[in-house]
Amino acid sequence: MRVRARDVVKAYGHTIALDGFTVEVDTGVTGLLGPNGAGKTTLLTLVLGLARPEAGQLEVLGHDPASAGPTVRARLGYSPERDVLPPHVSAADFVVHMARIHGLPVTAARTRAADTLRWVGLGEDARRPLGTLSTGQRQRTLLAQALVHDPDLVLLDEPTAGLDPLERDVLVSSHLLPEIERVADAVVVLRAGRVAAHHLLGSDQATGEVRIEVDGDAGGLAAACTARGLTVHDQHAGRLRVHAPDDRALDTLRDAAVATGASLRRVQREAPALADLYHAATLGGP
Amino acid sequence: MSDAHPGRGDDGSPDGGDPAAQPRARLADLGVAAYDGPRGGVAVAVAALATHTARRLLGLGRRPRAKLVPLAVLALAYIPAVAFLGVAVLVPEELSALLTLDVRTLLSTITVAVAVFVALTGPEALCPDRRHGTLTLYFASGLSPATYLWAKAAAVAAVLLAVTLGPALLLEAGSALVGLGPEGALASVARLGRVAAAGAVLAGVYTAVGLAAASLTDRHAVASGLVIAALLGSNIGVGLLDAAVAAPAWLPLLSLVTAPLELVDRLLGTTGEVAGVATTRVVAANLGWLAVLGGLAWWRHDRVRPS
Repeated sequence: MRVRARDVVKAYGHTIALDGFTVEVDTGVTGLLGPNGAGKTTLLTLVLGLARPEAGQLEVLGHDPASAGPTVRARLGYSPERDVLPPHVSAADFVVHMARIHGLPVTAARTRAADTLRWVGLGEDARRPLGTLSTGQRQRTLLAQALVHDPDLVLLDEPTAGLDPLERDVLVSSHLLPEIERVADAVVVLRAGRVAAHHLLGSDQATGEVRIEVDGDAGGLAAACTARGLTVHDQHAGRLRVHAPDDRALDTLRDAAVATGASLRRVQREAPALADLYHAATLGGP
Repeated sequence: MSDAHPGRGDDGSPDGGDPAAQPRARLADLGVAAYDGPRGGVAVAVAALATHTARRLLGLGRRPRAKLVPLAVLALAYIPAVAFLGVAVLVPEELSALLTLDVRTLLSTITVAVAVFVALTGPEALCPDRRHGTLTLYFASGLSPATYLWAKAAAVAAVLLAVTLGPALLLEAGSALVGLGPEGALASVARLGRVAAAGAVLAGVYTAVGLAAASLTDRHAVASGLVIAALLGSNIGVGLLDAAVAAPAWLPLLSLVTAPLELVDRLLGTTGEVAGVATTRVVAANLGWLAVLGGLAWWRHDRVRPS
């Protein structure tokens, strides 16, 4: 488990930023979604060990970041939302410097900085001062400095570029739903400092709906499913959707197909649209 | 990624050759490979940051204009010692004895150069990190506000030691070599130790002044003004108080100029303008200044959070 939070509370004065926040972030890319003020940046601050929660337990890479901050941060890569690059330094020199700050020897820092900058697509422009690079190139430099030391977990706060090829464990805070939907394995939606939703994207846990196509009319199969206690939606011609949230329901669906002699052409779990999940989580009742 | 090969047929075999007999080359996009080499801890990070900062303070790897002030200050600091030693070597002993230059006088002179250097260059240690937000990245690494400040303090102090310690040691060692130093090897070594401590005191206090001033703002020019205001202001304030009321003997130690120079005097076996105050109080005053100024810098940096 990369991040484990249980009943975490963090307040700034009278403002409660995280209010009993509980979540477990596993491997892969996890999107952190939520409106402004939902507590995303506060969570990243706590994960980095730069602030201490008032209550609850937080574990990052097996350590308490509040008490083992340097140990945890040495294994993290972080790319902030704000442009924090010094304009007069070249991208190459800056990434080498950050690799050194993360403890890499000089030679390894130079080699890895060159590799990482090439990988994020900076190439020859890495020799130019950062102040002369485009916004996109500066974003890529931020990503490079977050990856150069091969961290165990990467924290990206509102990145706008370079998410595509990340085959790493990443916790990414973003408001770009399509981008997150494309790259994330899971999403955590925050609302008012609490977890409003936690979904594994592309998994069957999200909706429990199964889309079925049969040869001929699906009316018989729909009736058999209903008779066996399954809920059927949208039956039309050879298509229907059945609510089958677990393996037992799937077994019932299979039995119904066998009993009616339905010729199955397609059986597919239906993944929810992230936008629907997000809006349901952020606009739902308390 | 690509397995197209110049000079091969469609089947990938060399022209006219047996495809099965030829191994096929293949390019693969490996991305950024995992790193399983050595990783240093916080000490390495501190050393890397200190080295990087010291280079910036000296203008290394920067525009020629950035090198101007450090080079000028270094020259200003070394010229008196080198000139004195030159005279001592070149002219008869009787004449050179008349042109004496002791370490106390040299350090007093150098203090002006140190103050100018701290005011003009010292803010470069902290201000850009705050101004550009790079501090966020440092604090997201193994560094903490305390270790970050230790690295910056080490960098500033190392550069200042080149100004305070180098010329004084050069003068002392040179004087010993031309026969103007203390009698005996042990006495010479002890004297060098005292001179080194005196240089370290000046470098330490002025480092704290520079870092404290620079921690209050992200503007270089404002920080420079704050350094000058702290040095001159404390000195003028003490002077005004001393003239206005029956001030206690230790009052001059509230001056950032007087306090370190008084300790330098004590280390070199003399006393300055606060002769009536015990050396322990002089030491305490300097430690107090270090604590106040260092604490201010730490407090300012401990409040930084990702944005």
